[in-house]
Amino acid sequence: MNQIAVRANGLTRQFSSVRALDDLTVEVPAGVVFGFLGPNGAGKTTTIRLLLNLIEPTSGSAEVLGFDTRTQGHEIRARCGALLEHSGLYERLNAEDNLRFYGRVARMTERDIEQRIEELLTQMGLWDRRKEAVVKWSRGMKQKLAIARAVFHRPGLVFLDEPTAGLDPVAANGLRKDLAALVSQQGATIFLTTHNMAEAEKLCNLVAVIRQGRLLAVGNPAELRTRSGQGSLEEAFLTLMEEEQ
Amino acid sequence: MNPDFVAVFWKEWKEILLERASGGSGLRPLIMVGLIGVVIPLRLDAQRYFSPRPLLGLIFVSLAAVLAVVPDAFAGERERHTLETLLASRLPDRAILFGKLAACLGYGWLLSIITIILGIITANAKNWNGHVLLYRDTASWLCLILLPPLVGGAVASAGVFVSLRAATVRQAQQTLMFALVAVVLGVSLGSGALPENVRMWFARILATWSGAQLVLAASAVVLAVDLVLILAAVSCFQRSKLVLD
Repeated sequence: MNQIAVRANGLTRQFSSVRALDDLTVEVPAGVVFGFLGPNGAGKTTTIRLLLNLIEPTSGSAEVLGFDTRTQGHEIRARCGALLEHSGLYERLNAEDNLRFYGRVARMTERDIEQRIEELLTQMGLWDRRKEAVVKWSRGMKQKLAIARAVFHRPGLVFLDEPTAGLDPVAANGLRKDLAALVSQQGATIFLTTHNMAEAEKLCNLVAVIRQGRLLAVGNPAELRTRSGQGSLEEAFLTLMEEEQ
Repeated sequence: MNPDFVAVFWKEWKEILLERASGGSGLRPLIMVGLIGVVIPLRLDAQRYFSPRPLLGLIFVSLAAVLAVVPDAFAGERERHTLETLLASRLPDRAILFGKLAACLGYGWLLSIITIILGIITANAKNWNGHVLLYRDTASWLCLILLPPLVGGAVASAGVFVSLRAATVRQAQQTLMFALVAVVLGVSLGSGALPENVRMWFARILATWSGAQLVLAASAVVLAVDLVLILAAVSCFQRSKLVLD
């Protein structure tokens, strides 16, 4: 496997008068949990969309798993899993059918699909309710299922856009545990955006801080704490924000 | 058959059937199936029922059924926030587009076939004299075989084209209804506005054609419309535009 999972070089995206992403240059090594931290509107979602070739950059370039985002979007999307801003679940369908659909999309065999459904739904505590339409589920359960869908075809890289946003602390904690277990079992690279610093500190080996489309710092959480002279990642993050202002 | 197309078709088909089963507004076409497949053959004598005129009702079933489901194709996914996740998968553009189109068309076609079979059974049950009554002439059979899928195809392609651009299902429904009314009014007013000698010349030509030839000519026109609308939908399908819309 390529040693660098994500490489962005001067990646920029302009929306009319707003520069959503400004000259982003960053490298994410394979096999790490990378936290992309920033306040609302910082450019985190735009970055994921650019890396999945869902939108085109205004300038700059990026490679994901060794593929150019401008010309090899299909190859990238085939090898990545994604939980985007919304869960993206088909709520009229049940949990099994949601996973089955994306398994078929990934061209998995029917046998592999059935095994994987049982494995993931059991692991996430959703197996007993697999036949229920997802519309009847709580937000936390839906988010767990969306993560199961994102990792279903064992992708080399998984994008998770604020996976615990809107969840109560108990559900968020449960989800974080499931996520950590999945990461350790699969060895995939995780590209996680969040503005929850405690979450980033627990899950991430490497973090980058972004504000108004510009990268402010990259390093592991301990480095960022040391660099800013703060005791927690949250304080380090706030210091970076204040310095930028 | 292409597995990507099959995966999208399967997912769409399940959603269409589950929506109908939940008793939404999509049940209206089923009422029409009962009306045209049971009530009309009960009210008409066998000779009139198996003449060409009631066949228009069967075409209308296909049209109405497709109209009930096609606005949901893309506008529904956008409204329920599932579109971006679908676009972030490895599915090629055409598999998404044609899978959705085929599912809508298939639903309309299936209902028209059910209506035809119901009508034949009802007319035979009412007028049973030891012989099975069926459509007698080639034109009627051509009409039964060709026009429901072709007219359904035209509505499905137009619906997908509209649904790609609409923000909500309601907006897609309204735009599609306006477009259909405009086409019907345009054709009737346009043909009425033709000079008398042109209309007479046209009528003389048509009078020399057999019923089968007329059906084949009408089918060719509708097929041409289908192709134009499909090409328009294909050219309109751009991931970046769909994500940002």
